[in-house]
Amino acid sequence: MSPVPLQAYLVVAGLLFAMGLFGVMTRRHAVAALLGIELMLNAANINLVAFSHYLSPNRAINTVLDGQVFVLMVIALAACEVAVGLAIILRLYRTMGVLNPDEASSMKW
Amino acid sequence: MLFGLPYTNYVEYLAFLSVAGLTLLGGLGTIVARRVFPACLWLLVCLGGVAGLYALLAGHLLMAVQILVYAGAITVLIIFAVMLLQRHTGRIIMAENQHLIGGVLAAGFMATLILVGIFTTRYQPLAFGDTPATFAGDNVKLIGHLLLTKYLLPFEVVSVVLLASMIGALVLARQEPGENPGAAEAPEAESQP
Amino acid sequence: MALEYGPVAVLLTFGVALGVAAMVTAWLLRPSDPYAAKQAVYECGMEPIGPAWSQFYARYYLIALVFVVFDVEAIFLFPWAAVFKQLSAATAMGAVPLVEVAVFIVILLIGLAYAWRKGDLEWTR
Repeated sequence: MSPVPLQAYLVVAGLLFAMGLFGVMTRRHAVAALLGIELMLNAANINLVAFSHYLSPNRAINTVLDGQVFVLMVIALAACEVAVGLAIILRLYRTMGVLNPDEASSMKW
Repeated sequence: MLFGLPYTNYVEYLAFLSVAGLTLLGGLGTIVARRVFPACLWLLVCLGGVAGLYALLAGHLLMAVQILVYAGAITVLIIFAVMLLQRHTGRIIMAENQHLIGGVLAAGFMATLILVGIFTTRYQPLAFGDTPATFAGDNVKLIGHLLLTKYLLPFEVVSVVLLASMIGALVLARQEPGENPGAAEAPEAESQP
Repeated sequence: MALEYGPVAVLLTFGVALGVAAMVTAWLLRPSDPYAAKQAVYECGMEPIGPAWSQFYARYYLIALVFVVFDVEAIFLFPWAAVFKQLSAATAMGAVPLVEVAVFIVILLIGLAYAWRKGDLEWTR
């Protein structure tokens, strides 16, 4: 029996992504919807690291780390995304008094 | 050896199962918790599980980064925002799920699509990456080398993105002097010290 | 490779077990005598007015925001620091790694200067 197969990691990431999608679509609170986005980003990160680890020619010394560099970038961008997203939510609450993303619809007509 | 398998394999499977279970449990808690604050704590559980997955995939630096940045900084920022909103409303904000049928349908469709894709694809090792043998086996040095040579431009652009998001978020979140800290139609009188 | 994390697993196990053991022991040993006054925010003294989290200011959020950005910066500096000596000793590179990171840091310092100038880092205004 080989070590844990690549597909096992992909399945975990896929389920996590579906959970995040569910959270984004159904949450009534904007911050909770943001948490769903975090789940989806983490699922993508798991995929990147898993592919980088399993598809490199030599797994023992693991010389291909491009996927891990991608994940570093994604984490930095996730920090930016959370900072700006939360600031937008705070501003939305102060000016419109709503927290449900469905109710902030004054740009829609 | 046990049942013809080396012990390390059992350890790896056990570690994978526990860490993956932790990740999925945390994810589930994040999307079904009825209040936002517990949802943040469930997200913390999920992020810890993901850090464990990185460790199993030889991402030693990423595990530390995940815990330091995601669990240590991003979650703290989210919790600060939740507390700030709670202070303004003065009541516990519920975060029930809405549009349940649509959400279940979309997430189920997505999960099915991904699972079918995973199990019908044929995988084979790639041959890209020409890293020098000097750093082979040392993850952190290898990542540093990649950041400073192959991925130099993304590395510098990340700092510009960080700068832009920092200034933008400061402008958006700043409370102007004289601005009502609460909502435009805050239900209760604010006891401002 | 999973075995390299053996010490971490042992530490995690004992850490969690110690916390659980302390709570279970307290739960087994403590007497159960609930009454309403124990639910108060302060058991003696003034009745608190308003919710317990009312002392939370938007200022904390701004400070946390700046902290997150510089936390990410530190993350990028760590691999650089690990590889710096070998990379700058290579004949072709010279002072290039230092310049690369100097650009990175200076760009972020602009943001810090902006926050400072606008007074976002001050506790009282």
